[in-house]
Amino acid sequence: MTTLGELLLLCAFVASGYAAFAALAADRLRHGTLARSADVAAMGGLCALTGVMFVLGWALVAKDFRFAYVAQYSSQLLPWHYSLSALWVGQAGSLLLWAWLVGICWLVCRFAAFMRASELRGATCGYVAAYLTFLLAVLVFGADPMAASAEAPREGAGLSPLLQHPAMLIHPPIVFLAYALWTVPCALALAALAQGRLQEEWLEQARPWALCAWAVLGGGILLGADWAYEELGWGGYWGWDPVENGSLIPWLTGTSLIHAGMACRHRGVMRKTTFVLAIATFGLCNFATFLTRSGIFSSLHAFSRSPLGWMFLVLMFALAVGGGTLMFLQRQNLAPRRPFGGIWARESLIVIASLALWLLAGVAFIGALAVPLSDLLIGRKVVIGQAFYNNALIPTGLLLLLTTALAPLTRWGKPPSARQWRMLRYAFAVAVVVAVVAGVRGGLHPLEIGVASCAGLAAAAFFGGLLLDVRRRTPSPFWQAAWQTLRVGRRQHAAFVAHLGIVCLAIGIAGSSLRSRQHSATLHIGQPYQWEETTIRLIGLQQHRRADKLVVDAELLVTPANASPFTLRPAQHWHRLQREWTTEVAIHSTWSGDFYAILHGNDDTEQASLTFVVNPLMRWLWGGGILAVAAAFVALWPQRRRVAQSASSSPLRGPHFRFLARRRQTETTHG
Amino acid sequence: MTSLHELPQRMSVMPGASRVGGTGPKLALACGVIVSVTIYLASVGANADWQYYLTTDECLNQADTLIGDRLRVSGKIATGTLLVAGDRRSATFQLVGQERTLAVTSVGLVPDNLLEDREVVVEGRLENSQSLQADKLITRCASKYESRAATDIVANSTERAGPRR
Repeated sequence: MTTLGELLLLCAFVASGYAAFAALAADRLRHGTLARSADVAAMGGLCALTGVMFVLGWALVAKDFRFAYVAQYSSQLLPWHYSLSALWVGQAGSLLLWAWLVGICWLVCRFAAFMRASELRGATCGYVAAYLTFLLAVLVFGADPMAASAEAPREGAGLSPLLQHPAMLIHPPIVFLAYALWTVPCALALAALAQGRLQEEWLEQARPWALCAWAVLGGGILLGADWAYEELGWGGYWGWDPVENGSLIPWLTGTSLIHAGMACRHRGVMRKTTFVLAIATFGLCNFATFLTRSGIFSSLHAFSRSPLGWMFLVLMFALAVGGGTLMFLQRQNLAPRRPFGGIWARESLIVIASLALWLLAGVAFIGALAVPLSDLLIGRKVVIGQAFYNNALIPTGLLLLLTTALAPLTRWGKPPSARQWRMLRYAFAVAVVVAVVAGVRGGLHPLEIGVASCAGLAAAAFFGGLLLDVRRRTPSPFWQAAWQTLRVGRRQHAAFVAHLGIVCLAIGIAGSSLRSRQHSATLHIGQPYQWEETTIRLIGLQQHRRADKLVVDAELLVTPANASPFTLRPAQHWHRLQREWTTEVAIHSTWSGDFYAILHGNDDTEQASLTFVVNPLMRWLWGGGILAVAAAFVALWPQRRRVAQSASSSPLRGPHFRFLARRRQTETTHG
Repeated sequence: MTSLHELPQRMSVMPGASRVGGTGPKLALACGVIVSVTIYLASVGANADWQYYLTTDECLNQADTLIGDRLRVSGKIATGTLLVAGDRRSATFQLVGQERTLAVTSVGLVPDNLLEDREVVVEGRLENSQSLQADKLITRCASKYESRAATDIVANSTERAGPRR
């Protein structure tokens, strides 16, 4: 089986390499036969790659330790679903999954209806296939997932107990899917630059890819935070770890790309910025991989010290040089096509919001690279602490929240209308009232007051903007007009709902960061323990033996002062194979906050050592993130056929004009 | 019909649109203020909260100049030296480098995967030229991207230590 896998991997590498070369050459020479051969080769390569995935997946589930990879990441006692998840836990397996997902992106790019009319499709597929070839080259020459064990062991090393968590079943594939999706906007940008097709066609086609990648990466980051919160047992969800920063940075630049793309499509401004962001976001996905695989950091996460990370660095360098050269050659044609419509126009707000996003990304980037950068610049390795992040991120984050809140009451190319100004005044009044109430209530941090005020502004601006849109539809009955407004302006209103989700996320971050309380204690069975206004009673300690582990758990009855009592069961698991303990925290979650219990150990059968953490507003954080991701998918859903038909019935033809016709219709609707 | 793509690119650029109009200076000023304030605040934060990141050998070689400073030191936990309190709120161990060994006393929650012969990063103050008082331990998760050799695991798979009690 290992030989079959090796052969399939080699076939996939050769076929995708030919597909990349043939697709780019066919696009240049306008050679139909060559283009068809590229498609056939890419399809063959993808089939071979799928075969490799099946072989490794089967070997993992069947615990075939003749595969070195299976012996390293699986074991006889590991449940099949965690065994399968080992496919993306190890170095070679995760790269294989990533390559396969890039292959799927190629398939969609080549055959999806929304890409069919594109003049850029051939070159785009060529660039995607070239990247697939790079990933396969890394697999073939650096991290072979099909390598055979020197001597097949009777038992494998098993999966780290920390990674045996439901969030880890889907977090890595989701992040790799997002990285794969970001390949296509970059490929479209490179194709547009190479061909000199600098109109908004590439942006119109990049939009669904970018939006999907943004939502998927956001979901992946959220799942990773949830894993850290539930599995690492320290009561937090974000530690400014280089790996966390590595995935956050492309998400921030991707957010900027989506907004700059809108400004470019609607107003013809930020044209160079969109190209730079499309290339940079993809490059930063590779940077995240470089962080995890180069071994230049010490982190909570494990890092390999293989040369693979440096291969990604070379790729980033090539991308920067290639993209920079193309941008330089096209610089004359990338000037803005219209002036900004004033400082209060929506495109100006996007410029300010983009700047805030770049600053956030820059801070995370410098934080991630502080050690090697300081070594290079001052000859000493220096680690930067939390104060660096907090000082820079709090004002920038508040600015970003403010621009996010104002978006529904702004217009493209013009300052807000008289009605919008009036509604903005009401929204600011709501923000002031919220700030005053929060201030009078006392005991709140200025940041909490700021976030609460921005939240009030965002909610008022959202509903104010919606009301203005609905009023335009009078004399229709109110609810009918509201439905029509939401239906016709679905993309726009979904985007504003995503903004509200981000505001909820900020509320959760502010609450859980500023008001988190922690207390450690040793509890005796039956004796009540008072912490703040909560009574905690240790009911008992139980020990259960399972095939792969020993479980020790403590049953706690928690009675808050003004709420119903609840039971928690924090536990400790002893994993026999890995000879490691893991902490399984217990969390009681409400909209006001989480009560988080950690069991450390029990010196005897009558007492247990525990830590309790109160993390306020955590549900707002998770709920806000889920809302933003869900809203992005709603915005992503294709427009109804009627709209498309009316667009295609326009006397203007071609994808660019279909976009213009559609936009015209939207502008008629929304003013 | 002539496609817009076939028109010379320059034709699509409206006359005078390369300038951003009167909004430009205001927007540039706003951006300049935002960037300046952020850089200033970040530099204040970085100056207030930073530590040297050293290997065990580097730390011990420069110990005389580092006593009392907050440091982050990387190394491996020496076999047979790890002692963890029953409530998992303190631990002591020897951190070994290439040549020298540093005694570490840690106060604070001990991570689950703090094990002997594993790489660890400790954060705390150097008390004297031989020992460091740590308040934070950062461990590596050994099976992500890089696994322990399966044979090592199999060789050690007989249980040597009982469950934590």
